[in-house]
Amino acid sequence: MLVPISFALLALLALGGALMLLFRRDPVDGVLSLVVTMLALAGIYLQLADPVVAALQVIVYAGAIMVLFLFVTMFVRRAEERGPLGWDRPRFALASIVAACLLGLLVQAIGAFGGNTPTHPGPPAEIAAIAHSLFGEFLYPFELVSALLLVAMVGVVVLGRRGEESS
Amino acid sequence: MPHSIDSLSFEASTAATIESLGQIVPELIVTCTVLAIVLVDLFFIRGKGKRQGPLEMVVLAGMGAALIATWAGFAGEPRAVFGTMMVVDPFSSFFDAVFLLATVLFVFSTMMSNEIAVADRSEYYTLAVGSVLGMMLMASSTDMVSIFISVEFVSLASYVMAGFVRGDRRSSEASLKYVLYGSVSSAVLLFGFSYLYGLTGTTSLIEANQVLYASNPYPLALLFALVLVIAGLGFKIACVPFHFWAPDVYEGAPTPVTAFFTVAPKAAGFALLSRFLVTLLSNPSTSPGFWTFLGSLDWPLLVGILAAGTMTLGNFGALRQTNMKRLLAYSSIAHVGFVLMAVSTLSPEGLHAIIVYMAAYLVMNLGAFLVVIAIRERTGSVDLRDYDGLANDAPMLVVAMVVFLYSLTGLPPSLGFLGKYYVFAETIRQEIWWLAAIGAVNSVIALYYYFRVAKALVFRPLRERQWTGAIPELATSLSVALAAVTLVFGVPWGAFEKVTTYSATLFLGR
Repeated sequence: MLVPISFALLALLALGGALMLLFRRDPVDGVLSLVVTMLALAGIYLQLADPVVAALQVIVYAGAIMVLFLFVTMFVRRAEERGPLGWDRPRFALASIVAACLLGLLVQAIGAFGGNTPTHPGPPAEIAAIAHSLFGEFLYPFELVSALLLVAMVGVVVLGRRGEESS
Repeated sequence: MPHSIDSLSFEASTAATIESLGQIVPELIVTCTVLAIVLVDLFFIRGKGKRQGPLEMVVLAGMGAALIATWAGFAGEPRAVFGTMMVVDPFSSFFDAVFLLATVLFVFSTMMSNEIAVADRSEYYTLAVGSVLGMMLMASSTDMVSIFISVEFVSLASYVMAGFVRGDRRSSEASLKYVLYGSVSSAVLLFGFSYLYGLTGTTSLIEANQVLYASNPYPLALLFALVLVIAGLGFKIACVPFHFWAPDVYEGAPTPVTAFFTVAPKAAGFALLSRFLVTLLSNPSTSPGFWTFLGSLDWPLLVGILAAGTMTLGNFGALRQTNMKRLLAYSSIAHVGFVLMAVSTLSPEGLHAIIVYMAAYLVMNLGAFLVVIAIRERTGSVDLRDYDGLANDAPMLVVAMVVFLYSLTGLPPSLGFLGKYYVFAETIRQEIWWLAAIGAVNSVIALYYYFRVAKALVFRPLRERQWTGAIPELATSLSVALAAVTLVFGVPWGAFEKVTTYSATLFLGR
């Protein structure tokens, strides 16, 4: 029963984050809720026994992309909209619940090791498998993405230069 | 371990990859053209004295070379390349040619328009040719991963192209709307794909088809996934009820871009939609040339209803328009309805009808847009009220325009008639009478608004006014040439028929 409970918790967290993203007025709150969703998704990937995808999810989405989102939203937000971060009661309660969920997961995850430290000689098999399919079976779409990024980059140049001219 | 890395299998897959690269020469040429545009602009065109010409030459040369390569590969054996990531078959080659020809006309229409500053042309052509690469891949992809990447390829380039005119609010608004609606539709498409992957355990459509025919335990989930995919693709081709972004984007975008958008990405969307439906859902055990389809749901009926709604709303929307770009935008929605009518027949003959219709639409619609661009140079306006009596000012151009409008209506003898003829013939052969009837009524409605334009051009008196420029010589000769093509190929030709019938050959991996 352990797995379904932790799945339910993660799913609730992911859904809650997504709902908060929709209903929060402040864009910064929205982005922070999205971080919760992304982390919960990483937990679900981990549970599906895919630690590599979970790690990528944390590094790329919850990490890099969310920092970028946060940076941009804070940057473009007008000064008068910025109020002090209030710690009213419902918000505190919600934060406590989320923190408790995360703590529960952490405890469960540590418990699962049962005191054993994992020993991996060399890269884990999953990484080799991912590399093999990424650069074998899916080499063509992988290369296609690089061409796509080139076109996207040119698009960014076009949009960026427009801002320069109007200012 | 299933994925052990031994050097032997690695070498084999490298050899297969290199072998596959040799099969996609047109795509490689287009990729090189993208790079060539960037490099030529960087190293050979310097300073403020930018002139029109060198970049256009690069693009036209690239498109020409790719066209020759496409033609050379046209008669080749249908085959899958890069595993089953994409296929090369007469169907994909035909659509490649449509995209490349549309790009050639797009370059000419950009050259005669002053909407795009010469200094910005290199980014502009990079995006356009990049989107063409995406379209070529869309027409040949048979794997959900490569389909999604190629769709995004076209979308990303289109978003920026729609908002290319600096400081123009309409253009920026068009771009923003396009980005928002487009991203949502991409997400919907991807969501559908994730369900399909979950159901079949593979991203390859060819393998998914075999899995589904072996067992289909969750028909409702499959239905849900397919509805999402069709909604996502429906957005890209602007079919009702996913069409509402189209008129605003087409009106706001620079006119040459609008002309390009109404033809090339739509053709790519139809190629992808037809290939997706047939590859995924047709019964693998039936003989070629006859398809039966999976599922308890009546697919032809669903697509048929979309077709009927699309052509009707498009035509009624076009009735009230006085802006030519908006009018042609609604008319393009109506034409999407007619092509969907062919998709709904889900047969090789229907595929043939799609091919003929798209070829016809390429010529007549780009022709009509060429005239709109030329008139905009002369009068500075795309408003229908400024079209009065232009027959006295530019007779040849107006004659060409009347031919295009005639063909868009679908009257014989013209390419447009030929396209409609095949669509109706197949619909009637399958005895889908209600759809044929709605199509016929819509053709009559279309007659009204197309001839309103013709009437303004020919029968109204020319008003005294300030001209903003001259009609470009190139526009007149090019549109007359296209008008001639419209009429000459409007008579059924044996050779044309043979080429288009052969183009309806799909590689289905069996």
